[in-house]
Amino acid sequence: MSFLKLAVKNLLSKPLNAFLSLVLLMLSVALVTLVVQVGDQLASNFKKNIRPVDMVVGAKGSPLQLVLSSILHIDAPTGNIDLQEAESLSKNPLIAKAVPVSYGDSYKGYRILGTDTTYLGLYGATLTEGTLFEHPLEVVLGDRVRQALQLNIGDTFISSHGMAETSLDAHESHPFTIRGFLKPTGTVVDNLIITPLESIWEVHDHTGEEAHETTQEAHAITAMLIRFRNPLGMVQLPRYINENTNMQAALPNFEVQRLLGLLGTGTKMINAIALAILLVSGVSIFIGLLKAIRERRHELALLRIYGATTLQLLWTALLEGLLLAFSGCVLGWCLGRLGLWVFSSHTRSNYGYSLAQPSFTAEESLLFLSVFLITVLAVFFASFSIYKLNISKTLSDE
Amino acid sequence: MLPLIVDVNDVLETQKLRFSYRNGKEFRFPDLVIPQGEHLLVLGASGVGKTTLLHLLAGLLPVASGTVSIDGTNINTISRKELDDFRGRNIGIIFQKSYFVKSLTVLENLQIRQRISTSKEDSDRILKLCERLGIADLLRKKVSLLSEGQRQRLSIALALVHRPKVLFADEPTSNLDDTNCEVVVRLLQEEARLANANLVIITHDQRVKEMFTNHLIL
Repeated sequence: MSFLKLAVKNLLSKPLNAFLSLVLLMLSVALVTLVVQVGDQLASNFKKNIRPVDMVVGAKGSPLQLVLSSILHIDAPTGNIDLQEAESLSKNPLIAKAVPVSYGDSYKGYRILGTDTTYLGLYGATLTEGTLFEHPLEVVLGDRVRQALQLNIGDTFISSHGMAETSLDAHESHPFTIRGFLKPTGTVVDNLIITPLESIWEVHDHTGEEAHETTQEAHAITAMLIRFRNPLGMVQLPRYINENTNMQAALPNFEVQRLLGLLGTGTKMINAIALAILLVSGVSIFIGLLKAIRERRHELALLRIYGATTLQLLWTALLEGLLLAFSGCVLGWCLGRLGLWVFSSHTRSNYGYSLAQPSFTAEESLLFLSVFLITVLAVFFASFSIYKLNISKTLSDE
Repeated sequence: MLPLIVDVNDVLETQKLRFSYRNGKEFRFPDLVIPQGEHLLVLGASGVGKTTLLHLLAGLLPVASGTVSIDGTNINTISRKELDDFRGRNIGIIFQKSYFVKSLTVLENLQIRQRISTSKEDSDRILKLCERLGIADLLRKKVSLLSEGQRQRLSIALALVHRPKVLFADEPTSNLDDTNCEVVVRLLQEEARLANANLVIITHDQRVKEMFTNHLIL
C-alpha cells in the first residue's frame, strides 16, 4: 500500500471531479497538437512543392488560385493561355527553365497532367520501372497513384473530364497507356498521372461538329512554370507580364506566404482557445484538489499520526495531480493524432494530400512540460492547508 | 564512564507537564510514571484537559513546559521529523470518533498504517489481529460500509497493527451500552497485554472505573 496507490485510490474516489479535469486536459492537449501538426505539415508541404518554381504564368485571375491550381494541384485552373505566347516568354535571358503544364482531366480522382519531361526534372522524379512517355497518350504514374490504382505497365485506362471520379463525359476514344512508374518524391508528383502535352490536345480534339471550334484553342496550355536564371527575373518579369500581356504572373513563394499568413491567424486563434481550456483545466484540478484536501483533512491528520511527514502528504497530493496530468497528456495526444488522421484522410480524398503521423515531437514535449508545470502549481496552491494542518485540533473537533 | 541511569521498566513518564492554549486557558498535570505493560485509567469530567493530556502524551501538541518521555526518548526535544517517525512507530491512538482513509478498504487501511509506521507490511499480523477482533471477514470491505461497532474494532486494530509501545484511547466507550462498553475495554486490555504495550484510557465514563486498578483522577 504505497503513496502512489493511495493517490490512485483517492483520485478514483472522486470519479466525476477527475473526469472533468481529465476531459479538459485532454481537449486542450488534443487541440494544440492537432493544430500545430496540421499547420506545420501544410506549411512544409506547400514550401517543398513550390520550391522548384520561381514564377507561374497563367490566365488572368486570382494569383493565389493560379499557384494553388498549377503547382499544388488543389484548385481549379484560372483558364488557358496560348502556348506560343507563353513560349515566346521563355526566350527571355532571365529565364532558365520554362515548363508548360496543361490539365483538366483525371482518372479515378487523380489528375492527369500534360507537360514535358523537364517537369520531372523540377522535382527530381526518376523512374522505378518502365520508361518515360514518348508518344501522346502514354503516361507515367506517381508513386501514390501507382499504389492506389494497382495497374501494371502496358495497362490502359479512359480519362474523365474534370475531377469527377466517375464521369459521364469520359473520353472513351482516347485510352491512355501506362509506360512507367516514378519513385516516391514526397511532392505533388506522387499524386499525378503525367503525360505529354499533346495527349491533352488529342483527347480534347473531338471529332464531329465541335472539331473546328476546339482545334482553335488546341494549342493552349494552362500555365507555364518558370525558373529564373538569376534573382533579377523576380524583380522585372512579373511586372512586365502583368502589364504587357494577356497573361498573369504569380510568385508562388509570395502567394503561399500570404496563404499561410491567413491560416496562421486561424491557428493562433485555436491555440489561444486551447490555452484557455488548459488554464481552465488547471483551475479545475486546483478546485478539485482543494475540495478533496479539505474533505480529507481528518484522513491527512490520521496519516500524520501514523508517522507520515508533511512532505509525504504533499507528495501524495502531487502524485494525484501528476497522474491526472499524465493521463490527460497521453489521451489528449492520442486524440490529437486521431484528429490528424481524420483530417489527413479528408485532405487525401479531396486534395490528394495526406499528412504524416509523426511520433512524439519536441514541441509536444514542451506542451507536456507546461501541462505538468500548471498541474504542479495547482497542487502547490491547493495544498497550503496540508502545511498548516493542526493534527490535534483536526482530530478533536466533532 | 558512568552508565546513563534510565529505568528501562518505565515506558511512559511525565514531569511537571504544563500546557496553555492561546486563549490563556492553562493546564497543569500531575507527574505520571507507567512501568512496562501497565495500564492506567485517567478519569475526569469534561473540560479538565483529558484530551489535551492525551495529545501531549502522544506528541500531537507541544508542551509549554515539562517533559514527556516514552521508552527513554524525550519527545519534546526531538525534531519534528523524528517525532513523526517516533509517533508512527511507538504510539497507537484510538480517538473518540473513528477516522479512516475513506477511499481504501479495511485491509488497505491496515496496510498503509503498517507501511507508513514500520515501512513494511505484515499480513500475518493483520490477519491474526483482525481474527481476534472479529473483523477478519470484513477485510475487503470499504470502510464506509462498516457498522459503528465494526468501525470501533477497526480503530482498535489500526491502533495496534504496528505493535506500538503505548496505546492511548480517548473516550472509547462513550457511545456504547453497558455490555459493549465492557467488551471493548476487555478487548483493549487483552490486546495491550498481548502486544506488551502500555494502555492509557482517558474517559469520563464511570462504568470503566472498576475494570482498572491504576487510576488518575484529574
